[in-house]
Amino acid sequence: MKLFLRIRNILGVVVAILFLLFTLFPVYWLILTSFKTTLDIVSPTPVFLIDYVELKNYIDPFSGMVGPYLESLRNSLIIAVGSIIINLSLGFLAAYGFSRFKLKGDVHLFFWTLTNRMAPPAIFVIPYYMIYSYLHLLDTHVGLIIVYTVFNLPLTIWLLKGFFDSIPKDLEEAALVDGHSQWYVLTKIIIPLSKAGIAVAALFIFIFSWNEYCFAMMLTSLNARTLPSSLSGFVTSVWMQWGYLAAVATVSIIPGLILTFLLSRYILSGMTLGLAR
Amino acid sequence: MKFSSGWIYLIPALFLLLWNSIIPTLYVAWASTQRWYLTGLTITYVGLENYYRVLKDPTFIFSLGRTFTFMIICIAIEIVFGIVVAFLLLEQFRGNKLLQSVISIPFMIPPIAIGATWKLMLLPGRGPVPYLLSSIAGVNFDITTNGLHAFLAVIIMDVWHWTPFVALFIGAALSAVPLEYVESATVDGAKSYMRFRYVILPMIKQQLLLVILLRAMDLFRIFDEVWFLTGGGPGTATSFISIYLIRQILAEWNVGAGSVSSLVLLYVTLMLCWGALLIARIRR
Repeated sequence: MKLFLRIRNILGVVVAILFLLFTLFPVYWLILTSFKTTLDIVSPTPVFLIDYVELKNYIDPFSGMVGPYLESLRNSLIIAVGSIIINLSLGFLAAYGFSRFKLKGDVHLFFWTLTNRMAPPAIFVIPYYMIYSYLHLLDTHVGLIIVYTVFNLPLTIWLLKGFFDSIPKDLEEAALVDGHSQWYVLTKIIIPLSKAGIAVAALFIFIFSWNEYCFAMMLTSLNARTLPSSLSGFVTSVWMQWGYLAAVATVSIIPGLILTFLLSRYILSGMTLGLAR
Repeated sequence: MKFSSGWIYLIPALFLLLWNSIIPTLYVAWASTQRWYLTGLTITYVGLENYYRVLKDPTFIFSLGRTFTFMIICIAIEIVFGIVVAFLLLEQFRGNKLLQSVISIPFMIPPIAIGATWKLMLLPGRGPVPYLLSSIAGVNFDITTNGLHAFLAVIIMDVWHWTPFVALFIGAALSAVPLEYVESATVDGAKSYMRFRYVILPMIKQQLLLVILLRAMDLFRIFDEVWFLTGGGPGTATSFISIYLIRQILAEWNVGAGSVSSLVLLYVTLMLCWGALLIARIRR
């Protein structure tokens, strides 16, 4: 397309390479630091290449030698998977309802569900803290699973509704005419046909629960601490262990690195609930 | 199918969302009228005292101003860079899809890890950025003591985090611009700048506005990565509104005042969000 700036021009190539370097260098630096020896890390002249791979930074935190990182990793996984399960069950039903039934005011309702996704987490910290302390849900897996379910539900509903809208209604009507139940329609027709959508929704819920920090920091302390809130513990510790910090941070970005490629077709619409097209 | 049967599917999800959006909001509104410290034992009704105190607090006004300054600078840089990169992504070349995935990495990884990454990049005495700046330009770049440097660092971090997103968003809008319009303008002798200003820009105007609102919303509530990188400091140099709020709770244990700032944060974000949805609906 002859538009404005072209990659075939020298300028275009230079800009593209600079941008790619700018994007990748910090990630490279993080991963590199996680494999450096302490001597290389504290060296006043930054070390840009290493010839010796130090694994101590990974072994110490994840073998239980320093800090609760192994438990945090486990908690992060439990909470992400738990929230995927609840979120998908509720979101699946709601998306089906929005997709298949004409209800009074359902368009407004649908948009209202989307606004739920946009509210800043920091404002929910006080009420959730108080309510959870009454309900004894502070520092529990269930507590965080509920929060993440609620915050990702709009995304699931929106994503799955898109997939359901593309499944022709005739199939379901034929099955109902044949005397099959609504349950049969959902489990034997809709679920198999929307497998891709369900997978995409599950991966998005995973990434958002895995990445979340604000709630995790305020609502957990020890038992249900997730990886991001453990990571932030490095800030307050008196002696900064930069190698450990880099190693734990590297582990925390692995799902993001992988899912970026798996979800590449859906990232933009998933992040904006379809506002980008 | 019967009219009423559809609601059965919606009720569980709607119940949860309703609980989540109404109860906390009411709770915060109620808490904002109480004198309530987590360290104290009593909660007393004080009417609008907390509002009066927070809205007159110079630190709060400063935080609000900082947040808006930060928001405007970041959006301006990200939009300009985003448009440039979006044009490059439009080209058909080998590895285009791969490139799009690779540049999505920053907004798929945990923001707290982004804070950690930039801490490693910017740490005085160790990071590569202060090292290069001092050896090339002779600048002593120190985010732990210099407020301006910390503010610049947070801007660079956000530009790094979100420019790829803006580029992909604008790229999606650009790919919907009909090629014929651009070509006929070229035939008419329009220079590339004029093609952009008079042909392409009007056609992507709404999407541009939409991405600006989305970014404004995110920037207004920014917390994780700034909290990790600077903790809002040095002093109050990067104390944006979410950080001011969390400090009120964590440092002063002041629930009443924290609730007031929560409400300010909520309403500004909601206005931006409604704006974005309004534009999205006009286009349908």
